[in-house]
Amino acid sequence: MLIKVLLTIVGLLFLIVLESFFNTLFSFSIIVMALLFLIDKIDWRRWVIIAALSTVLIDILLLRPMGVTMLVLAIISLLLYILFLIVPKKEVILSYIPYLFAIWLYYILLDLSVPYLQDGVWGTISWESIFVDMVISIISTVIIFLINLLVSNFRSKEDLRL
Amino acid sequence: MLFNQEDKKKDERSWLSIPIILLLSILLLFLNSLGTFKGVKSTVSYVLGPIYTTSSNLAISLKDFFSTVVNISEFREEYNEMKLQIAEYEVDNLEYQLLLDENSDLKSQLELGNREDRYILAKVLDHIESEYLIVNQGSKKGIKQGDIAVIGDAFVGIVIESGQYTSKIRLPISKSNFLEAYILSSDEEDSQRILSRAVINGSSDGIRIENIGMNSGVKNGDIVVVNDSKVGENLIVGTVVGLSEDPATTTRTGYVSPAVDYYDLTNLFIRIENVD
Repeated sequence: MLIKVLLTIVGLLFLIVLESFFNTLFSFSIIVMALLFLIDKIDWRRWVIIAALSTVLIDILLLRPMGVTMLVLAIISLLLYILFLIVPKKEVILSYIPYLFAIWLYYILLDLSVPYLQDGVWGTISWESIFVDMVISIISTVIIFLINLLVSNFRSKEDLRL
Repeated sequence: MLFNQEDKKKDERSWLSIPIILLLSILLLFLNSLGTFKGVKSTVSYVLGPIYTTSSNLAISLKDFFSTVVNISEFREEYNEMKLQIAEYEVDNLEYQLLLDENSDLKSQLELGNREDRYILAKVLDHIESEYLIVNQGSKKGIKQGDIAVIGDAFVGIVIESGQYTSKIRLPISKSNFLEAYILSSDEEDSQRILSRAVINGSSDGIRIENIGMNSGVKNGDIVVVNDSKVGENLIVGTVVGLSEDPATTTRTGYVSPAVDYYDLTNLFIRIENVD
């Protein structure tokens, strides 16, 4: 139990380092990728705790209204669940399309909602920003796919006897 | 260990995670608007702020390195042009220095207060949602909400939030930004004449300028200077572009081409006021 708690804390710190690094470098969010990847991999209670802590910490560090990232995450998670009702999970390529749209919506909603919750005025999005968000979403989806591949290959080696 | 077989078993109640974080987020947003979390925010930014600024600085160094390598020939040309420009500016600077001294003497003579402003150099860490900047200086350096960000005489924005080690600046392009301004003639012989008062506010198309007098003689290229109590001094915003030509209206509108490229900024200054 203690090890799991410590791993969670270290994982959160590592997530914050990566988030601030990639956010500054490419305007790229690691947290949304990590949380969507973990959504059906770990117990839902633990996922809620990790999601709550990580999004609150990021909101404080990026000086956003506290709770906005969590709100956007809730909306995109709902979209993901709805899309998984339509898209079969066993199809390799198709099953990642919900992730693509969920992450794309994440960036668009953040652009719109943060200025609204901060100053009471809806944010501005342009075709250029939508296109850039789509490219970032595609890259994020590919990364999730590769991590899933890595994890499933790693777990298949459990059958090996040492 | 992380992805336990038992955890992976489909939990029938896993859908509860969404309404829980949805309700939690709404509660947090509500409590945040009441200012309940100031202590928590201060503590967290004190502890984690250095981690954030260090990793952001690392990312900026990496970005700069690759940018330098890719654009080295452009930099060489720019360097040579700038050497010539600096020589010209040094001559102009002597004249401005005389004007500055005269201005300072007049201010004290009119008893406008012996106001000494301190400027904190800050590095831009992030451009958020195209309307804000995050910089690497915060309340530890005395920066607070309402402080003004400048580059020389050019207005960059207003600090809207300040953590321990970082601050968030709202740019003039933000739709919630409304500032009073006046327009100076761009003619060399007439450069001190105020042509019209106006209002600038951000929009999806850029910085709009409105309420320009119809017969004021304002034309494209004239200089827009912010003159608002929120800013506290006259600072250049940019030049007028895209002026409307509709004779049926009583006022004119246009756009402001900023004097500073907000998305190309690496450093800026934040004014801390010390009023004696």
